Amino acid sequence: MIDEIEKKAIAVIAQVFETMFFTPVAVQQGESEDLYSPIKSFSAFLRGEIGFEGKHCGTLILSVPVELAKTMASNFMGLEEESASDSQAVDMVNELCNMICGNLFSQLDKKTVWNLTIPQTREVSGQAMDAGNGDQAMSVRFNAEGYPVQLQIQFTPAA
Amino acid sequence: MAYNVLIVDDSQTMRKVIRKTVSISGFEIGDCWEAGNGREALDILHSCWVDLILADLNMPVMNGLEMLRELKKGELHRHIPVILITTEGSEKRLEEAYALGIKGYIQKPFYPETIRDVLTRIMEETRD
Repeated sequence: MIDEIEKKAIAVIAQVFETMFFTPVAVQQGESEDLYSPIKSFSAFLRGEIGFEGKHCGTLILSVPVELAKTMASNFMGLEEESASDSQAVDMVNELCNMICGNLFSQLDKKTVWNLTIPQTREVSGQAMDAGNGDQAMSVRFNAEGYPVQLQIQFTPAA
Repeated sequence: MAYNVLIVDDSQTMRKVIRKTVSISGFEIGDCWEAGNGREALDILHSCWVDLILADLNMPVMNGLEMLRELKKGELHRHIPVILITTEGSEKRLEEAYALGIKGYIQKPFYPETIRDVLTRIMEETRD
C-alpha cells in the first residue's frame, strides 16, 4: 500500500509544483544524495499539516524552507520575487498541503469520500526535517529550486 | 459582457490567484467580491448582485456543500451558477455537489485556459 501511495505522491507533487507554482522538482530516488548537491542553505522551514480520513486515515506533513516558500508564493501570486509576505508564504503552504492531499487520495481512490481537515502551518527553526519512521509512515524528499522539500504521510493504525 | 463574480475560498492567497487567473484568461469581470467561507458568501449575496460564484469545498465555519444547501433554499439566489474550484475529486462528493446544483467543477491545480473554457461554457449555457 505504501509503495503505491509513494509513487502516486511523487506524480502529484510534480503536477502541483509545476502547474501552479512554475517550480520543477527532482525527486530523490533510493539512497542517492546527489539530489542535494548543490543545495541552498536555509534557517527555518514551514511545516504544514493536514489530516485525512477515508479508506486510510492519518496526517500529511509538508516541510518547505521559508526562502523557497516565499519564492513559490511570489510565483503563485505573480508577484516580483521576494515580495511575498510571511503570512502569504504560510497561506501558500496550507494550500500546497490541501492540493497535494486532495489530489493524492482522490487519484488513489475516486470512489471513497476523503474528508480533509483545515491545513495548519507553523515555522520551525533549523534544517532538521523529521523524516518520521515506522511501518505506518511514508516520506518523500525532493529538490525544488535547490532547496530540499519533504512530504511525509503518517497513517493512523486502524482501530 | 462583464460578469459580477464572488470567489469563496478560505485561502486569501488562493482567492487572489483565482481572481488574477480569471482576469488574464480573458473572461470579463465586472465587480468581484471575496469571501473566506460559505457564511461570508451568503452575507455578501444579501447586499450584492452576483452573476457567478466560484467556490472551494473544504472551508471552516461553513463549507462549500453547506453553502450550496443554503443557496438552494432561497428563491433569490438558487439560480446563480456555482462552479467548484477544489482539490477534491471523489465521485460521491461531486455527485452530491451536482445534485445541489453546481454547474461545473475545476480541480486544483488548474491552468488559466481551463478556467476560461469552463467559465465561458457555463455562462453561455446560462445565457441561453
